[in-house]
Amino acid sequence: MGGKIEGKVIKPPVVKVTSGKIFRPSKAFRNKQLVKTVAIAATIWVCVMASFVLMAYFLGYVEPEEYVSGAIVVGDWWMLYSNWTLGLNVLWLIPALIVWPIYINSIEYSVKAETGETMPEIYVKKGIFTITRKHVPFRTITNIYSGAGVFDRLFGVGNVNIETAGYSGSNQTGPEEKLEGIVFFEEVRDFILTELRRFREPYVTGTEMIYPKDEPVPRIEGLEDEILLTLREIRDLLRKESLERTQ
Amino acid sequence: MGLLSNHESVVWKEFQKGKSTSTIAEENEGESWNPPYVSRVLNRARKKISQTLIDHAESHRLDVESLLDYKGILIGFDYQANTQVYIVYTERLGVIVWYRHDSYAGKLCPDCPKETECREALDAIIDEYNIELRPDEEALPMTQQSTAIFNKLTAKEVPRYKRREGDD
Repeated sequence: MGGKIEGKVIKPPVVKVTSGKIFRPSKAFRNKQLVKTVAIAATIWVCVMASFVLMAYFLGYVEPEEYVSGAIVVGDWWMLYSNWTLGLNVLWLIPALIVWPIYINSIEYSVKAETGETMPEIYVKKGIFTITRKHVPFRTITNIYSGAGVFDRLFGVGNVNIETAGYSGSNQTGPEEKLEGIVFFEEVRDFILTELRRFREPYVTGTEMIYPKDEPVPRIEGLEDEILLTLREIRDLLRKESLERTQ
Repeated sequence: MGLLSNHESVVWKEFQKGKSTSTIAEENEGESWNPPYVSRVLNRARKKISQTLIDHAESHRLDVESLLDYKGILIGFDYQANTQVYIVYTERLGVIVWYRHDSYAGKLCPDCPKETECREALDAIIDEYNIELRPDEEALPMTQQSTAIFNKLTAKEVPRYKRREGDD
């Protein structure tokens, strides 16, 4: 008695303000990052071992009296160098392989509201320890570019990079926000481009407010000629009518 | 077991029908009820109900605007949904939490998927709190009718100190 009793809640769905329809990076993006991380570790190992072999042969060749031949040095020290390099690589590789999937799982993007309309901002959420939710307003976007590197193309994903005027300084390099690891990245880019083209005024650098506008009449090739021809016809008719009145 | 005991339930129901504590006691003389006992039972019921209403308001993270415990209603405000919320205690359905709204994601009755549920909730309140609607209010869609019902419930006269007919 006196505890929480059963009941009924009549609550309409609340429209989300911060984000709309959420989409996340593809699973292929996670796989790509894992393969890329392993590839970096392998590259480090190859570089270290190659420089060791080159150095051993170089010293054996340049000063044969002081140093034993390269083949002997490599034979004696290969395993030790290799194991040390692998051991040091594993120190960062294992945490990286654990952290990457968690980080990618935390990423959320949103450009469309639940209602299907475009959001006023592009929403990006990411982070493990410090979770950031960033809203980049469409009106502040100066340019966007999409790209797919070698690994991206191997895994069938791509990125859309969004730039604003605030990030054009010498210290702030790179885009304002990156939508990474998206399979349909070209469609996302086209959608953002279409929205950007609705802004007629130049991009915003301060606090000025601009709003997107839709064309009242669609621009069709030859429409201006049509309008001109119709106006000429009206002019001719008016001229004819005034002539008839004077006669 | 529900929130209220048998005696509390009976007293609460009769009280909401507009009967004063002395009238309820008179009607139950066979069970040796007297006005002070009925008053004590009513107070117990009222305290239980008001605590439940506050618990629900807290669990829904509402800012409590007013608690009318004799009428079994709490009015709160939900800042996230940016709307007023009515929490009403009913014997039949338990606690009803009603978020004031104009439509359900743009849908009005009868297209709204919650129509049956809303009707059931409002009917329970109308029956248990003895609320009478005018014909024009009955014809309103439930989003507007609910406001009329809750307004009537909050404006309802509490029969606690009501004089009995012929006491003038």
